[in-house]
Amino acid sequence: MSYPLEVHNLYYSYPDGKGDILKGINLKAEEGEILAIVGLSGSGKSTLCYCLSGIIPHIFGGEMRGEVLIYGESTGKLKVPEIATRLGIVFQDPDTQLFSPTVEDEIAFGPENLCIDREEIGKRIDAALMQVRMEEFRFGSPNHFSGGQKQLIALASVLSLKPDILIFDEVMSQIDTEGRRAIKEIIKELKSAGKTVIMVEHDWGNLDIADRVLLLKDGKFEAFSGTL
Amino acid sequence: MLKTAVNGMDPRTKLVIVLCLSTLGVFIQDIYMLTGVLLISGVLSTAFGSPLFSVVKKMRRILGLFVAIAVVQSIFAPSGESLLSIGGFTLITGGGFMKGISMVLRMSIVLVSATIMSTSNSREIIQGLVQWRIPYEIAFMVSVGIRFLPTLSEEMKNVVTAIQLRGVDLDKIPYKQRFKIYSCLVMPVVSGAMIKSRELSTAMETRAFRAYPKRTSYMILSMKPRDYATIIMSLIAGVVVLLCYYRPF
Amino acid sequence: MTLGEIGSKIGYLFQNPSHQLFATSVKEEISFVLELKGCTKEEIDRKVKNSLETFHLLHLKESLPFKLSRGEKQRLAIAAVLVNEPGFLVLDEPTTGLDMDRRKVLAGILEELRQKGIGMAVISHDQEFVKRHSDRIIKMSGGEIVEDCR
Repeated sequence: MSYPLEVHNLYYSYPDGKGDILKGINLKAEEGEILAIVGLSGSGKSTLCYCLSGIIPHIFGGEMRGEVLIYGESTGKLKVPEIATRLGIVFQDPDTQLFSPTVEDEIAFGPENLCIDREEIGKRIDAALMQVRMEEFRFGSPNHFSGGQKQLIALASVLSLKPDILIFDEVMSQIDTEGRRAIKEIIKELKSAGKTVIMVEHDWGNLDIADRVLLLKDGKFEAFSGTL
Repeated sequence: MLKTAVNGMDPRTKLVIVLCLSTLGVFIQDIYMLTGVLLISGVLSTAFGSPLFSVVKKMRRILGLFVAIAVVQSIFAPSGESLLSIGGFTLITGGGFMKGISMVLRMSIVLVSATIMSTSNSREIIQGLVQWRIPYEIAFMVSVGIRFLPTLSEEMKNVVTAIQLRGVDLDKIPYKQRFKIYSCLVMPVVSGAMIKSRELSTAMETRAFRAYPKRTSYMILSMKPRDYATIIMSLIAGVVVLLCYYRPF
Repeated sequence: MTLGEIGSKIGYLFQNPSHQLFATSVKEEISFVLELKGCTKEEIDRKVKNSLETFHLLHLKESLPFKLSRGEKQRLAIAAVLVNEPGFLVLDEPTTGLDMDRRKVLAGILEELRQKGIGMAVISHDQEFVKRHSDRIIKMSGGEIVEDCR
């Protein structure tokens, strides 16, 4: 059986020489699953996200051993643009993910980079806005949105690349209750559409939508029993 | 009426207007003509809808810099009768003073005409430049710089506020120590900028930035007849003004 | 009152601790204000050591504030503000970005400060934290106070 995302014996250390942050990670994420990863700050959750999304090894350096497979293909061998159509990642800080003057421009950015034709880009913008329920804000400027709305636009701008796997790196940590509720609703809808979702969280209140929770401790996964 | 005529004008047209005004500002030395160009810049800027008055208010802060430049200019390029001398040494001359003023006018023309560009959003400006064959990466770099400049100045303000909130009254600190305090601004602003740029570039690359040598664009700009007309008129006006300046009849 | 005068009476903690850290080492961050005030070297050393111990930052004293984790930055920001000995603290969303364990550590520090008689206003959307640790809760909505209960 082929899994959308598989990790085999992943070790990683940053170039600063402080040793391995990830010490033998093994993971298999299924289609239509919401997998949550929790752990103390500094435990390597974000590092793991970077490895899953190909940011490590392509954008950040350091030493990575083991492999990450997206639909059977190794992230080391795939190029970043190829990964972008299979896996999308939304980060914690909305302000460094949004850089366009309008929402429409922001969502169009990804498909434009892939030389997709204008008509198709238009359709993808419509679809992405519908998925995050922000159609009325199409021509608005993200600068004036609340944190939750900004994250929804960041998500829409990733969805326009039509990935089947989505990684959320602590996306709700700077968002208020209402914003979090909206984001969780949409994550559940993505699951129903068959997407694979991996969410890294430090707030256990957000774990209610997860099918499975893993604890990242000392560089390895453990079963999560409700406490750290 | 002017406002409706210029509403929704192509950013490339605005760029041509800004270049014409700035060129006139650079080449003309005559104070009266410079003032005229400055006034035209101001009128056009307001017509395009830029918040000129609030920009001018913000410029008050650099007024001191302007005055300093004017004084320096008039000291180092003396001519005409002496206006201010100390102990027999001429400090400011009539001619030098006029040169200083024309320097200030020149800088003001550049700044005010630049506000015309701010009436187009950054995506339109990039698209305009790209359709004029400037590489996308360069145009994009410029627009990201513009987008993040207010963030940088906000960060500087944050640090100054944070320092004051620790009970430090900046007005009561002697100048020597004030310098040390302001040098504290450098660290957080520079590291903040570096962290932000790394995060931004990572986010962009995960959305396939520079995947291929080319990219398509959802936004397309098309020049309308009034854009062409305005460009031609601006170029003609600029050339005519320069001719009048260099060869007055 | 100038902002400087207010700052010597009330301590303020930004939501993002990075916005108020600017020194080149943790030690210097805490001693910054004391140096400007003209305290003696012995006094500065004593107060800094005290601060570092109270906030569990002793092992980081030469580190660059920017390289600290969010929880550590926050403790440093609180330490740097408290070295001024203000009588009251305002904390803006202090639990943002902190995991469960670090929240407990923060709650412990705030409780210690309370015992010392330092009053606090905590602005937060973390309802659980607020319910568990406050004497008085003021709810706001649409720019107005809608509830005020002890």
